[in-house]
Amino acid sequence: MKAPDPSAHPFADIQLARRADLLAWGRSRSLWPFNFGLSCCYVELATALTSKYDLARFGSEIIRGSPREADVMVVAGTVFKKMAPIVRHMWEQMMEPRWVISMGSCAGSGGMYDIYSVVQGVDSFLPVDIYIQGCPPSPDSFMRGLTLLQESIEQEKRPLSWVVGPQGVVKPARPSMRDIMRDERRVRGGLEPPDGI
Amino acid sequence: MERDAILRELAETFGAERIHAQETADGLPTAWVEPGLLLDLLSYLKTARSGAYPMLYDLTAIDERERSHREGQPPSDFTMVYQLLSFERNEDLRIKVALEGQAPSVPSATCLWPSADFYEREVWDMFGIAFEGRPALRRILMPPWWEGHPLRKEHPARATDMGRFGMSEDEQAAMLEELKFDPVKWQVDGPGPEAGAGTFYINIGPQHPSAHGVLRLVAKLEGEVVVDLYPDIGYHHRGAEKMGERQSWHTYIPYTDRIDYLAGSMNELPYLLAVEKLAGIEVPERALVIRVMMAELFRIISHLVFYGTFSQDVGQMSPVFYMFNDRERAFDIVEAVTGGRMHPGWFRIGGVAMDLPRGWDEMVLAFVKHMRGTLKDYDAAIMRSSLFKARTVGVGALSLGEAVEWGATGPFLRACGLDWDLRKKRPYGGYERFDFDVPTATGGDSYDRLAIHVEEMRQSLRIIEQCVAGMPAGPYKADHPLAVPPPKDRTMRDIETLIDHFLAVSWGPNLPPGEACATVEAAKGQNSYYLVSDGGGMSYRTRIRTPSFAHIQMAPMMARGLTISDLVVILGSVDYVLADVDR
Amino acid sequence: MSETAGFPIVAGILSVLFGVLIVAALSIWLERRLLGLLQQRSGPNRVGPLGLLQVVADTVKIFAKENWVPPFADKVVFVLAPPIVIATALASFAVVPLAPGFVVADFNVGLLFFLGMSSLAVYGVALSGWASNSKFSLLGSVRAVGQMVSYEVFMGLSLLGVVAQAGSFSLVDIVNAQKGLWNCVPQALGFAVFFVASLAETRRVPFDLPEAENELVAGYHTEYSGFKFAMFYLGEYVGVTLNSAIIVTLFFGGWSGPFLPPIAWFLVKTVFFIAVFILVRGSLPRPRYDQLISFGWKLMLPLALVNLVATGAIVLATAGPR
Repeated sequence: MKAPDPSAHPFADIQLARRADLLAWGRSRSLWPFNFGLSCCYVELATALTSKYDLARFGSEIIRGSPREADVMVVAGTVFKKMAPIVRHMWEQMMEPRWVISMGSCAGSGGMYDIYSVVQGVDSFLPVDIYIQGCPPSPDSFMRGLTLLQESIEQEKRPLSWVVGPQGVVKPARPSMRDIMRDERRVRGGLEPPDGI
Repeated sequence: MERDAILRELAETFGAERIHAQETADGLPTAWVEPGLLLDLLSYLKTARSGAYPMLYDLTAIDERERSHREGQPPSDFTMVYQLLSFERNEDLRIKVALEGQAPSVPSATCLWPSADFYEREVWDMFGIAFEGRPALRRILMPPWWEGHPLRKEHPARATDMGRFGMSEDEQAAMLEELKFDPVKWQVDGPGPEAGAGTFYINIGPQHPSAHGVLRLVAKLEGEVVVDLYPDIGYHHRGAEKMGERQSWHTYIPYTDRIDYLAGSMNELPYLLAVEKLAGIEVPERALVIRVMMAELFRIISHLVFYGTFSQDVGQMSPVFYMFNDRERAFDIVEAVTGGRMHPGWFRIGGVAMDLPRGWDEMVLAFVKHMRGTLKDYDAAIMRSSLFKARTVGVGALSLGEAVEWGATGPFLRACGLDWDLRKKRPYGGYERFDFDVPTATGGDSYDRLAIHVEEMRQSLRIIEQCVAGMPAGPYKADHPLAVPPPKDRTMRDIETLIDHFLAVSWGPNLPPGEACATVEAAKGQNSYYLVSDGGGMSYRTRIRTPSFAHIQMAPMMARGLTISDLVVILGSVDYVLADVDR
Repeated sequence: MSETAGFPIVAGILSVLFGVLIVAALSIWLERRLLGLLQQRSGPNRVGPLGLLQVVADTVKIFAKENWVPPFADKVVFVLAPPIVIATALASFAVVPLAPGFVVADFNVGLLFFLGMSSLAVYGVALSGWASNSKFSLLGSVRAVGQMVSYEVFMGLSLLGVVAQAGSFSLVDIVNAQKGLWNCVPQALGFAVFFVASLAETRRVPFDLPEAENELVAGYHTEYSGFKFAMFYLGEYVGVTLNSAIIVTLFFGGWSGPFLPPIAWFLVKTVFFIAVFILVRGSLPRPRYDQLISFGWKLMLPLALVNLVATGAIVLATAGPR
């Protein structure tokens, strides 16, 4: 005889699954960025908010000055050794669930700044969800990164609450877009010669 | 020679044997003096009855220990370099002091110029040169736990040579503890927060919506009134000067873009002017005009960001969107011409990377026409708004004397009433052929600084229009062996040119030994590159003098006695970017 | 619902409550879309038709955000402060007549109840900053209190002209008294003063000093997160809705209007004023604290007094001897 399973109710799983889906849907479509920038990339991040690119379409124009109210920290720019403890401190001040986007080559790997004062990649002390390359990445690239994060959040498995259900977050695989896009990019034609506008 | 008049004058006053003149590639009068004479000499120069040098323009050092070409210079391990600026003579003067030993020291100039404080702290931090007769030295760019002095030749340049960066929770806590504000350690107050009942300290930054980056200001507040302000910089120190010592003359160009990252190509200009002085390259007409056009376009781009963020700092929500839209239009041109956006890295030694694309002129003229219209709209929405004026007029006002004393340049200085624009006073890079006005104001407050910026955009439009109208024909790059990358058309036909091309591209040119400094009127003020070549393919020492570094040092003076809201307005009006402060 | 039977009152309360919350949530959407329009962009348009579900997504997310009280905060007060803000604003709706006969409680001192509730709301703001034990929050709270003290005074005074004309504090009577001519004509001055005061009351630009993002990071709610922050966030929009509704009731004839049913007129007018609140936010810079206070005491207060005296004189002169 098996002990009665509390979740044996025929609708229990469905309800839980639906609730988890609803949460994932809400979270992915309401990513409020932390108003935080380190250097050049921050200007392109700000540009992504303005009219031509308009991050607001994805519901992300509510940038919060307080880390407690933000969902995603965009490490936009060079991560300096003097700044590193502060960056992590601010990430710690963010509430779960929280995500980190590493924007730009500097944040990703140090980029062109292999120099004594620069941390070679923010992932040496923060868990990064999305990497965006470029120096600085154009606002379009940033938006691509943000939508990728949205897709990834939708597939994320999270406990319904900090007290209910099994704990721990299962994040989906994060494949390299270079591999996925390779074929499409290879056949890309119609590049304009550099002497035209 | 007329330009050495000052050196003769100094020799007559202090004795010819105590003033040792040096020839430099930039022709800037340069005098070596011994440390004992330094303060007397500086004080004489600052207060001389006629033709004084009232501004300490730059203060830096050179680690000479590995330099091989020092012909005609006194022996020295470390050399202090003081650059003074005279408006009356329209001339700079460079004073050098030779220092011996591994831990040298020199008298402090803070008694003459309070602005020397930040510069001396920087020299201490970067070179370990001590200064006597001033409050104890504290690191300014590097974190307090740093060991060594980065610009010394023995300090590693690459982060990858220093081991992988890691930070345990304890280490992080210890670092945060060391960064904590301590009035005693910072030598700003007596022990403890006793400094008067009702006052408290508040950290504004390094992460704050109005800090425009990673600037940290510790404010001592009484209610909302700022009693005092202590800036803490260095959170954005990217080692650009050390980087110059390991990048070839050519491959350093992209790094200059990222100094004042809002003004892209504008930053390449002073660096290349200095390199071209060292190499003796004559830049063709067309390249000069193209450079001026792009530089002025970037001046507008930078000013637009300033305009928008400033109005946002005053609490206005929408203008920043309109201005970024205009900036996007300018970026469309930048993209068509260079292929890049913020940091095109497009100027080259001896010219520019490629010729202008077909149809560029219509694009540029359409932009000029559009901007003329929108600038009028912004005047109505911002400049003439009474609420905006109430917030900015009279806030953060400076007298001309203070501005000069503290090394303010650019729109900052002109807002105080001095008609000083290098493009007019010492035309460089082809500016002499353009007709434009230099706006000035008299109040020296936040509103005037904005008004100067706005008028400068109009003048830049005029210059750009003249560029389009009078774009000369001809090559876009100098035909000179040191101008890299060399022309490619003949490389596939004869082996000599191919080898030449290969070497010039892979190793870059070797510049003749010497020193040159070039200054331009950048978007935020005067920006100088002081390059020392030891005859190699890389710079021996690259000194970048940026306007924001000097301007940020003035923030406490402007903010004292005002409220936090005013402080935000003042910071907005200063027009700095952190990469320009910390480099 | 002025019936005394139990069930209709509960139904009335619930319908007003949910109606208000829905309008407040929609006004968040309206704000983001309208600001987009003002700033030459489109605003949220991906989630649901016209982006209408954006607010739903935000709500879902924010409810599931980690619920947390900083260890350095005064826990009880910290938790109690946000409900005060939203509860007082919601309670005020009890006295607002949405249509003839459709009011939760037709007090004879309805207007005073509204003024009292809006005075209470500032406690939520003040206590939140105090309990947060953070310097930026505290500065925000101090600003909020100073602002309220200055603006409450003439907010009340600006409404006395309306009261004098209607001869009653009951909002239903005030609406009925506007049958011939809406109060916005004879009470234009009172309307102007009240509009400024209600901007201050809702802590919206140009009176958003308590949270002034550029100066105080997020002001009094810097330390708040998740559901508690959502209450402040929603509370602001409930406040905007409330003040728009009050403006409509007191100065623009409440539910009255031709053709459409009264409740529709009431909604249309209210949404119009919500839009005005939003556009003001998109256009004006923020004054400094001392400028704000002296604007209140030196300009708004005298104006409100002039309006009151003039109204009183005219009412006395036209009423004739009793």
